[in-house]
Amino acid sequence: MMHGRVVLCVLVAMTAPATATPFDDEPTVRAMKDELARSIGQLHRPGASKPYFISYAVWELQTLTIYADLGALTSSDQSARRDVDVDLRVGDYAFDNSNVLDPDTERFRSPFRERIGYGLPIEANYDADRHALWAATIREYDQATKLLDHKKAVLAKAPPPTTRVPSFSKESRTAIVDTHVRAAPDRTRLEQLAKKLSAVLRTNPDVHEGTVAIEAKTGKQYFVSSEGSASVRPVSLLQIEIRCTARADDGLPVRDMRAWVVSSIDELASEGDMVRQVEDLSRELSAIRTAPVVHHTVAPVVFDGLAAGQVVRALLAENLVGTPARVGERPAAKNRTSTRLDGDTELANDVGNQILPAGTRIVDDPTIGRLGTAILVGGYHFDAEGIAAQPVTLVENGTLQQFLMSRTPRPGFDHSNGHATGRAYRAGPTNLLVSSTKAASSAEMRRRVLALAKNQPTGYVLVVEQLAGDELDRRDLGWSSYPRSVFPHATVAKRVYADGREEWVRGATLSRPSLTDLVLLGGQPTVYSWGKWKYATSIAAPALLFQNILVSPIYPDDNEQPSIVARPQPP
Amino acid sequence: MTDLGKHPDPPYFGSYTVTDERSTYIRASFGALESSSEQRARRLHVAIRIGNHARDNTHAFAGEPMLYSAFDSSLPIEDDEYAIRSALWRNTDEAYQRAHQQLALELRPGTDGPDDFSPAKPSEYFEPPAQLAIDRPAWEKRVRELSAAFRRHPELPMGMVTFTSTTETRYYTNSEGTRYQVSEPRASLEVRIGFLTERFVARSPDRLPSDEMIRAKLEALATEASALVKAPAIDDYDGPAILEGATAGLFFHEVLGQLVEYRRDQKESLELVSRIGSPILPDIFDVYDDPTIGTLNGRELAGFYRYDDEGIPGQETSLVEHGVLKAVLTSRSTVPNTTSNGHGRNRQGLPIAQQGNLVISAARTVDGDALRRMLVDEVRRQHKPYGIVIHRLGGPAYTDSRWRLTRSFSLWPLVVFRVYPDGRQEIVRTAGIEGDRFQVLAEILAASTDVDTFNGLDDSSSSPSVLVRRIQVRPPTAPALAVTPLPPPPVQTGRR
Repeated sequence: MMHGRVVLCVLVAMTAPATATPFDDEPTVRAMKDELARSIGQLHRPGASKPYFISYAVWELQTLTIYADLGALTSSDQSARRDVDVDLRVGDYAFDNSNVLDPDTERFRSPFRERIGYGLPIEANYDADRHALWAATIREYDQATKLLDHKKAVLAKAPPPTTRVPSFSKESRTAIVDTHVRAAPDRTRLEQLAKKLSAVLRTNPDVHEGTVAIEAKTGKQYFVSSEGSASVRPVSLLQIEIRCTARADDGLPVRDMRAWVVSSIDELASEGDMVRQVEDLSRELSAIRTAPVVHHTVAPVVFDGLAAGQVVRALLAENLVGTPARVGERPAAKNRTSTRLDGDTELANDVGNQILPAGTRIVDDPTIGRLGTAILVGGYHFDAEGIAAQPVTLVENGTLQQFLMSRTPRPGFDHSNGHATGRAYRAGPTNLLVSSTKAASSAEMRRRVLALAKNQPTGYVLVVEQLAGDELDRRDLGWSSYPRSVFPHATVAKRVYADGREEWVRGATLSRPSLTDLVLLGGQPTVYSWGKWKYATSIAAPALLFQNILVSPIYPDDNEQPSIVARPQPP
Repeated sequence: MTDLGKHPDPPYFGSYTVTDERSTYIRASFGALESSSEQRARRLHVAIRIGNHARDNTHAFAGEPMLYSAFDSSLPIEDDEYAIRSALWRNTDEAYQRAHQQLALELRPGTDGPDDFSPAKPSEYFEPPAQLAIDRPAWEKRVRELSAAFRRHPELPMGMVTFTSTTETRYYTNSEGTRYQVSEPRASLEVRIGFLTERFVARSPDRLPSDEMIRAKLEALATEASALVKAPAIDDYDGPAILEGATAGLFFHEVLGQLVEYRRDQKESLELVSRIGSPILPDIFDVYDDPTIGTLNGRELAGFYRYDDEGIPGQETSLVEHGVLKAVLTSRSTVPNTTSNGHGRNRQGLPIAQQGNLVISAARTVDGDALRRMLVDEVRRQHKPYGIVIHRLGGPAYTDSRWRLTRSFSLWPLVVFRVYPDGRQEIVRTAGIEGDRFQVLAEILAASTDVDTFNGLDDSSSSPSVLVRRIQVRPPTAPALAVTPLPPPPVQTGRR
């Protein structure tokens, strides 16, 4: 998404005058700037603090959502939405209302969820935009003054911190203007594609459900702040996912999927290639449906393909975020054996320590759109706080170097590195690239796997190709039935025996791997991407070999019985 | 059903409901569109019952929740027979498995109670799918222009105008032989300022009120909203009250209507059934529910339907005659010795009895001025400093207490006036009215001649304004943020 485009990027000191740009005359931008200037100057309730900082991030998105099941459309909807995230701060940079759990509205709200903005008209209209901004601003102001008092009260009861950090870092002003908005993809073309891909599963009698979901988003994000930042950038994401389910003869559901996540339709694989991948998916689903259920065992496990990125998401991605937990946050674990709060990194004391095998390198880079030929979708010109995107080396030679940071500092990390990704005050991964200078080639990895299999009492190593992606999403949304301490189910996995034979298995639950049990990284990365409402993330990771994983079988519950009536025969 | 019938626990009843829906939603504020979308969907509802009419998988004991017997999903919106049949097969399988699992719970101890499912004679009805031609750009223009009236009231932050249009064609078939195809178009136009709402419903967009009338309602709402910002808070109040206009309909919908929606898993329903034959209202009142009427006194009613969701034709049911309770609204989940009276409608997949068009009428009425004089007389008689007129209530469009029916009720009054014996009145802020359902119904003193209608999302309640001897009103707990910390921005008409 960062290619072939003229980007005016001006980083200026906070005292320098703003640069006039053509987008300044857009009605929305004028409304944002005018209301911002009025609010920062005049917004005040007697007896309460005045705001010292206000920013508006306006998101303008057209969304196309298409579903098809077994060759027929089940829905096709087009919608437009504009909303504004208001960051209004009272107090000062040293101590303000930010990053505190609102006891009235956020008691059960996960810190990993995207922030919900205030609605704006879907058509730019100076008066209507400005009126909506005013209404949102006064609500945020009353909320901010309440939370400042609440934050003081909570901290007054807590022991004093050993290191004080400011609430909000001081950063350079930015003016980044890219008004090149991609055209929305053709709806008819995507409808035909959804039907064509899902139709591949019609002829497979094992398929219970075969659904294609397409979501295409195009639009732009505006950002203005009372510090003088004023930026705009295009936003575009196309996600195509085909999910299919089957029932094994014992009633246990079997799930499999393929996904394509790109920034624009031009980056999509050819239709023929996608159809071939779905044909492969159909065969794979049937093979897994009749595969044996795993046994209880402790075994080495290779996370390969999508599962490599998924395991990085499950274990590491949020632990590379340095934003401290919200004041008043709940403990991260129910058993309270640790004092760590939900949202705070498990690696808080590990900067400078080796956390991964020697040679491992992890970089997060929102400035790139490709890794080789693979598409990365987590990039942007500037983050949710208007800070310019920048690459960050997080792990070098296995040693943790630094964290992903928003403008909410933590001890030792005073500044943003441009990674605020739409969760309130919180940083997040964008394009997270995992590699190793000591990577094993595919042949070396296989030799190692076969050798390990030979030494196992069971005679095999488990290779996991997919984890349940929906469980990973639900963990981030804070669903209580999907705690972050529980590792997602392995939905696509096989045994690799010492003689090289491979056998699909199903019904595998894995214990949460420990980073200290990661023993080998492969060389060729696979990109795993997912999008939320406003931001997307890509993780590029090679095959990851862990040892000492507890593998347990899942059994069907009373509601999971074989179908009694056979599926209708295709015409 | 044939293949499932070979199973050791065969279903004795099955039904499919397919709802083919086309809808348009347009919302605008301050002269600009906030949302505009069209949707097409086909929804499938599968109901499977295992056991027999007396005792099946849905069986609930008093005080325990009824069990779902159905499964909801989406169907292809294209006429692809194989894809549709596959979806029907999959959902039937899921519904049967769920029902079979529920059957195991049948082993719970409990009293026998009435049958779980009443028998019904098969019937057939077919009408062609309705076609509503919506000129979306024209409606966008109309809604946008109506909402521009809020530019005259920039101090009100949450004003909007919303148009919706839905054409629903329902296809129903069950294993008893009932088949119907009904088509129910609806349109609505809503003006809203915060929680203050005026909603108009009609069976087609061209029957919605004129712009002139909507603008008048919008201005009245804006006046109320502006007055509320500066209004004093009411003190704790326990005294006489008038429920005025459509508010009286909403009051009956919530206080009486929900009570007569029979649920065998609700204690209050069981108690109500024991009161059949006893007075529940003053003897001037009659109450009936009739989902087959589309209008009353020229007003469109939102509760119109020909068939309920259990394959039973909608029918008029007399509920109260001369103040005496005669019957309750029933689905096929039965009251002892009765059958459904065509009020079984799905709520989140569970068919429960629900109001259609509730109509409250009074044999003796007075005009509005006389009702106010009676209020003042009652204020004096009770030695109160003032009485209250409840002009606007918040209600079922925003909260649904159908899942936990209680003997007490609590409603949210939005616009309330204090009326003093000398005739002065002032608007006040309140937090809630509450009381005992049976007690408040018994304490209705008088009714007005004028009848008004409250339209919910898919039901309605029409009644005269009423004077009640005692209503308790709670004061607001939080002080009003009467003064905005920043006045609204100036409106720069003419420049976009």
